[in-house]
Amino acid sequence: MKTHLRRFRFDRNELSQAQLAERVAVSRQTIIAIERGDYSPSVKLALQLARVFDTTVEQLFELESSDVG
Amino acid sequence: MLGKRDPIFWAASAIFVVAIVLGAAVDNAWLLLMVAAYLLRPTLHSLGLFKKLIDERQLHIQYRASSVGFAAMLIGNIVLVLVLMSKGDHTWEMVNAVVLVALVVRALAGLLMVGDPAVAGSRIIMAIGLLLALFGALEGDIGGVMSHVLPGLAVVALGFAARRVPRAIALALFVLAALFGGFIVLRGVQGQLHGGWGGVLGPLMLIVPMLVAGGCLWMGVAPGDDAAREHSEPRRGTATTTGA
Repeated sequence: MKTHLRRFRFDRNELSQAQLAERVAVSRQTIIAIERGDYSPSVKLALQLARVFDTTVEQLFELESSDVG
Repeated sequence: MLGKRDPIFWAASAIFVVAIVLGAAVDNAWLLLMVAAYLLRPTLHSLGLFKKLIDERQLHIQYRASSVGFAAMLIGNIVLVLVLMSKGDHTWEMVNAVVLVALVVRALAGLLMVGDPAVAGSRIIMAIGLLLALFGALEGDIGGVMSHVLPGLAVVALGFAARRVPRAIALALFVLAALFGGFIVLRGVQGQLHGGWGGVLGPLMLIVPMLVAGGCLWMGVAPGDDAAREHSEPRRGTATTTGA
């Protein structure tokens, strides 16, 4: 799964990983793992992240060809 | 952000300190307390407590690591049982019992976590029946296999019946568990219970799942549940049609 979280963070007032983590009540390590593509967030967390950036989950995350069954 | 030093961190630290003090003072149970401190966070979450203080990724990692740990523990126990058996040491039965308790709890927890008590109840009964039949088959000689297997199969049939008449089966399970428990207590009081604590643990591993299954079946059917289902099915159909 491809993520655009980092781009959104920088586009929106250069929000730090720690600030974003605080907004969605997770650890900074979780934000790092999501940005690196090491961890796929739950639907709830994805929706919370999308809400922070006032966007949709589809804008934040997208499936890669290898993810499509 | 979820801080590293939240209330669960301090609680685990306090347990850890108590473990250290106990280890220095009385040298008893300190290791178990250290394990309690280590597993406090995932255990609290497993029990549905303090969910807001637990990071979903950390939890995901904890659960996966726990599964690996569980598998390693089982392998370790199997090796230990084989070593003890080769030495003619009958304490292997205690190790075996611990493994069985862990597996039974894991299976019960898994079924309960599905969140459908009626289904869980009937599946627990069927699992008990299948295990009884399996152990019966292994213990009986060729000629007597059927007579050993039949009680287990009868319990499996109860599991199927529980889908149609859950409360009746739940009541039957409560009565059976009470009778079985009473019998064990009576034998214990009379001093006729053989096998030490194993003689208690074995029946408990039947009685507890029976009570859990009975409770599930009893709670799984609310009054008017059938009527509610009948109402919900057309709605589901309507939603599909609308969606299409």
